[in-house]
Amino acid sequence: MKIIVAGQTRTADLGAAVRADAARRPVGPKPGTLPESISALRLRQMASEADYLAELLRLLRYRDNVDTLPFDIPRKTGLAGGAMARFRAVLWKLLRYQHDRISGRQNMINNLYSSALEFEHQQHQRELCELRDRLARLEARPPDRPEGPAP
Amino acid sequence: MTRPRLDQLLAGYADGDAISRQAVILRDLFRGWGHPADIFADPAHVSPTLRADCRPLADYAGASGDVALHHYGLASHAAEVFAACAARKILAYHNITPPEFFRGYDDAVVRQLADAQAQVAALARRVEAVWAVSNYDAADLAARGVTGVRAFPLIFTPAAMDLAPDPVLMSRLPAPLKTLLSVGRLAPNKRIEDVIQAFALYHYRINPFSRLIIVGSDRSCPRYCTMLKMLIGDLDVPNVCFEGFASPAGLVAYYKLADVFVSASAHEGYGLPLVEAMYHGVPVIARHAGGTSEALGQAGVLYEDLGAAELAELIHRVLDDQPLRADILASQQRRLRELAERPLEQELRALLANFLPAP
Repeated sequence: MKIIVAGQTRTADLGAAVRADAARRPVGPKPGTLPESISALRLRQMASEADYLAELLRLLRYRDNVDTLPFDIPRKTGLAGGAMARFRAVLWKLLRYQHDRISGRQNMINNLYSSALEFEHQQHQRELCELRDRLARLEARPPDRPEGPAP
Repeated sequence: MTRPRLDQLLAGYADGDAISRQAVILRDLFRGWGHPADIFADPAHVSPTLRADCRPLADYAGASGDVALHHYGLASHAAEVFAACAARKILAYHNITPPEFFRGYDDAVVRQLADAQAQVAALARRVEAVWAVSNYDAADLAARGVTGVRAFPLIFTPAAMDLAPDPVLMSRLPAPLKTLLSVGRLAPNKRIEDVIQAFALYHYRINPFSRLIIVGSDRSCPRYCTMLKMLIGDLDVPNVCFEGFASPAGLVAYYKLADVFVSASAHEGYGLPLVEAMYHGVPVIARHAGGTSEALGQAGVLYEDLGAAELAELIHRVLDDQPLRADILASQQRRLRELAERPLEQELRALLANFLPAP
């Protein structure tokens, strides 16, 4: 770690304080974390656009459903903050049933889109393989007539 | 006595692009000195709003007495026209992003950048002068065997920033939230994912009444933007606003709204947005990489090797520790004074001394 403030190296004091604060801060359920095997950051490690697309389709499968259960209502401090948070919680309870019906339908559509993309990708891959095989066979075939100027 | 033409050749000409902005400033200066001067760019890469402000590359016919200045950051048709022309040549090097950053995101850009890396040294040997926009870039060229490179840093013009902020944006983003700002095209070398991860921790562990505004075109690497949006979903972090390309007045509005400017860019030729943020009194936190330290000078905050949680805490300190914030802002004011005192015309005349007749 190195921190420079206004041209002065402050790693020893500010850096140490920052590190201590980071270690001391209570860890909550958020921000969300996913296993490394399905993290979006895996897309940084792809070798080509083709690899990227294949990986993106795989990762999409883990994300095409919205989960509305862990819904956070931020709360400001003080009496007004508490009252506002309670008001929002009541509103959310009232709206939740309709909201879940809509999100359920949206999830279904997302799922169908993921499937359609996968099918399209598989079909393209299959067609590409067939074309490559065909090209390889054509290139391996002996020429129909000898090369060179016509007699 | 006829003054020689001083033309500039660009791969593209676009609003908000640092190279284009530099070219306009130089063209206006050259014209002010009495030289005929135009910008020539590939029409396929010119913003529709700027078509009348430049000329097509095909029209360029530099004669032996003229001077051609090519801004180079990518292998392009402009470089071919430049290499083939009869004019006296100056290469202005704007850094080539290492192709590894784009691997997996854009195969064509990887090839273009690799070609540019392979060509730049050969091109530099065929010109009379080579300028680089930072000492970092000059060192990069020296490592490729190019000698005699002279640094000519990107020009910051406060006039471009002295605009009224876009009122629509100011009214659209009025909430009293702590605002983190990132400005720059969305490309993998900018490491915007690091800013997002730090913001997620800041938002959930330190201050939920906060937002991250990301300003910059998403056209240069759409697959990278897709990764960023997926990451935001994974982190389940709200208040991350992708604002896309900003007009000059829009950019001013974002700087006015910002409480801190954060750049995690891992490769930067110079970093003009850092200077713009300083101009608007926004404290700057930037990764110490490439030319960022030259843009900041002895100002702002530079960091190396910070994890996301540590960067979140550093952001918190800069936002809430008033003496620290005051120190940073004072250092930025000093840096702006240095930049304002830069003898630009004198610098440029010295660089062009061998190309222009004595006044």
